[in-house]
Amino acid sequence: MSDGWLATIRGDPGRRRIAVLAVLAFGIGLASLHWLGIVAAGAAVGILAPSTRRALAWGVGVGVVIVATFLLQAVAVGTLDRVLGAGQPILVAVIIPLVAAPLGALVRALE
Amino acid sequence: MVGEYTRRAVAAALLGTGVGAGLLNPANTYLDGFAPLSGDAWARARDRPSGPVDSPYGDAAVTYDEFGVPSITGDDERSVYYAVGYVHGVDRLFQMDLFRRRMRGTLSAVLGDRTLESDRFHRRIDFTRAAEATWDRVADTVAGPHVEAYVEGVNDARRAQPTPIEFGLVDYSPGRWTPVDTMLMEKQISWGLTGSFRTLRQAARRAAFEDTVVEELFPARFDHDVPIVQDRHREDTPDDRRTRHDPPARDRAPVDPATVATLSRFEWPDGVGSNSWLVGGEHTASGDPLLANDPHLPLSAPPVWYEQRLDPGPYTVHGVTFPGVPFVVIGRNDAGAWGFTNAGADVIDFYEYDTVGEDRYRYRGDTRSFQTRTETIEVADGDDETMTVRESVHGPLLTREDRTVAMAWTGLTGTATTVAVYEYARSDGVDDILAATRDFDEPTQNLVYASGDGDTLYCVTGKIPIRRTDGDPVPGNRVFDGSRGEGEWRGFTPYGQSSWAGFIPFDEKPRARDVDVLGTANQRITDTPRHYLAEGYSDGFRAIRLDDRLKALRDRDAPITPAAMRDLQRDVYDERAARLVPAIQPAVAGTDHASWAAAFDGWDFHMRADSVAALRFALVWAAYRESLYAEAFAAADLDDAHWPADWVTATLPADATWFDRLGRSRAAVIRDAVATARTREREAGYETYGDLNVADVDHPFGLGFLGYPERPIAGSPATLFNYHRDGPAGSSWRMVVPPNGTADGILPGGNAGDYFDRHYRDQFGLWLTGQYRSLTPAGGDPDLRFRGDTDE
Repeated sequence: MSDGWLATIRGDPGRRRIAVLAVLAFGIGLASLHWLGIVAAGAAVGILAPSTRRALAWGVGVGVVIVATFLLQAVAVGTLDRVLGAGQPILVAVIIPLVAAPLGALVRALE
Repeated sequence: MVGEYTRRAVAAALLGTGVGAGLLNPANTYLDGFAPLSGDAWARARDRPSGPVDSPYGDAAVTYDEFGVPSITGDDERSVYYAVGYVHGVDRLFQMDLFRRRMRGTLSAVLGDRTLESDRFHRRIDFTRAAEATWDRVADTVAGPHVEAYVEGVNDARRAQPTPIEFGLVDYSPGRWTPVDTMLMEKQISWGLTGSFRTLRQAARRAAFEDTVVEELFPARFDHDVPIVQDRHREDTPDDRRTRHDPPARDRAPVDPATVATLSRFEWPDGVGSNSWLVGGEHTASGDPLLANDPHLPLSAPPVWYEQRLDPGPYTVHGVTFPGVPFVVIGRNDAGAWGFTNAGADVIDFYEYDTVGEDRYRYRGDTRSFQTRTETIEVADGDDETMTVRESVHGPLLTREDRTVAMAWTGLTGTATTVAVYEYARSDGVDDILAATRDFDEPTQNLVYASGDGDTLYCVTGKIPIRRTDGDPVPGNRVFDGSRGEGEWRGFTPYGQSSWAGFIPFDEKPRARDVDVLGTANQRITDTPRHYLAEGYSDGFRAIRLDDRLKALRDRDAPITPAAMRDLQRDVYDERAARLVPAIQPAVAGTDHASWAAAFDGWDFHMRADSVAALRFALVWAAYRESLYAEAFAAADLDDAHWPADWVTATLPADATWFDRLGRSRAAVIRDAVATARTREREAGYETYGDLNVADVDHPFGLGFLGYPERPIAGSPATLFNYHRDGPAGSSWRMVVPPNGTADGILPGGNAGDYFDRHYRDQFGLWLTGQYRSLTPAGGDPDLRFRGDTDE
């Protein structure tokens, strides 16, 4: 599997960057539909990583991007202060992507 | 190679386990609810309600003011009431769903087995069937089409707009709103205000104590001279005659205190009372009358009331309603203003039977079968529960253990209150209000009204039964022998339509018009009722203070202003303190408590948050009640709900037989109470009353972030500025209205029930400190437009 187009992307930083951004955007879209989308986003980005360790780190990065997207949405509609004041639920909301996205990125280790 | 296989196996196991666990409960509930971009709990954080909205009823527009109060204009009434439904669906949908689930007995379907007892009770009473009978009564009246438009608006908002956070927290979706659900809201407030097991509690007391104790601690009438309708008001009160206050006959058998305690959990908490008053135009600065009202109800986040201003063309009405109810309940229109306090009338009775086996009972010489049906209660994350519900000729059975007691309550039949409240908005003066009030079948309330034409009116709403035994009227202050046909109500059909033939005629209830000043604070309505009205009334403390201050305002040289009315609503004088404190210092004189009690020197009995004396009085008061009652009542298996009213505690004289029974003098009991109070003050580190008296208003879920911030607050259960920290309960809406001028009002929290809305708690600080907002129309561009011409 890694001998084909995937290896080409992994080996070319420029293409890899574009691919990561593309699958990240797609992954955020999936994550907006269902929490499994966060796992899928982590998997999609992780599989582009050159190593399992990098995949896990990128998975954390995907989680951070998803949290940031969520907070930016709240800023846009004027609810950020209430979101940040939401006690345990906001902690859960932050933890979910930071766990689920690296979990998805583990697909890199299946190769 | 082996290491690579191991790595893949571990990765696959982690991935599979992680995703698999996430798909199972309870993890799936958390993930569905709280995942940041998709979680249902965040729906309103990501996406705010918006329009335009296609309306089947014509154009309308909603403009929210700076406190989230909607001003709604429209082509006609139906277009406006559709929009009202829509904004209730946007602003209060979870609260509405919670209320209807409570009344239908379906809480456990979403909250699990912790609410089973509530579901059992509400199904046993069967409020839903009563609401269905009520909708049958209302559907074909002038109000029916507006209720239908409202319901459609609620459902369109429910389908189109993001759901509030609570649905994500509990992981369910609200079902279709129906007209019967709107009628259930009337049943809920009516049950809260008139559904009382006082008769059963009093029966348990009679069984536990000798007659002299019962007469001393539980008098039928509190000894004060400030009824609502006083001699100078009496010109319009029809044919008053002093009624005998017969002591109740013996109950058939002792009432099980444990059963009473279980039932009492489904009453509203202590403190449900209210203030309202009228000032005639001859005493005001403007020459127009003034009206003030602050109903004291359970406090919660969001508040029980929703404020709205409606302008359908022919009239404008502004005030508060219950979420789920389209029409303004307390408020003002172009012609006048109206408000309510609880009348305390007795509209509930209890009947015990001779039974034949489990399912039959004796009734007037016959043997009848209880009507029975099986109810299935759905339980989230648990097994469904089935229960058998029984009903006699009088109403639902409350117990099936050692005794068989049925309940008759006026709310369990078809009622037309919705029509009355709808007509209030359209009213054009005092005669319209009186005419509309004839349909106000429940709950029994003290209605006050003031018009821009200068008229004032006080009257009692609600149907009040005349119970009869062997053809003679009897008071409803004991458990009746249902098998003998005692205490029956003529013209009442539970779960059907009642003729009300045997009830107190509307024109024979207490009434007053064109008053100088008149105050209601849940006290005795009149000293000379033509008919039996109530088993008892609230403590007279607020009534005395209100009467004193209204008369002082009336009798001074300066005219009365709305500012003086607002000041009166902020009054924190505690009559209990005025009566007990003078006994404290002599009791502790010469002891080491004397210096502590010196804090009462010169105290004006005002329960201010920064007062040391108020703190010490509150602590002594609580300890004094415990010293008086805790041991003796516990020995009789009666919990603190059976303890005497504050009126009795505050006025219990030193030579009361109760002190003989305790074997201690009043002074000794007071010294004990002071010692306990000192210990509690020290251990808790209290310095002023505000350290103890904290406004702690929570959301039903008890989650801190959904509640309001905890803050020191003035007032007590006995002050006009009212706050019961046990409950909590207090002023659920304060309103002062000059009928021809700008009204003021305030809610204890915010008008929005959506946690993510900036109006969720924006009035709380103002309410806490006794401030007000002007009830004026919202300006600017509409926030939500309703388009009624989409088919063209």
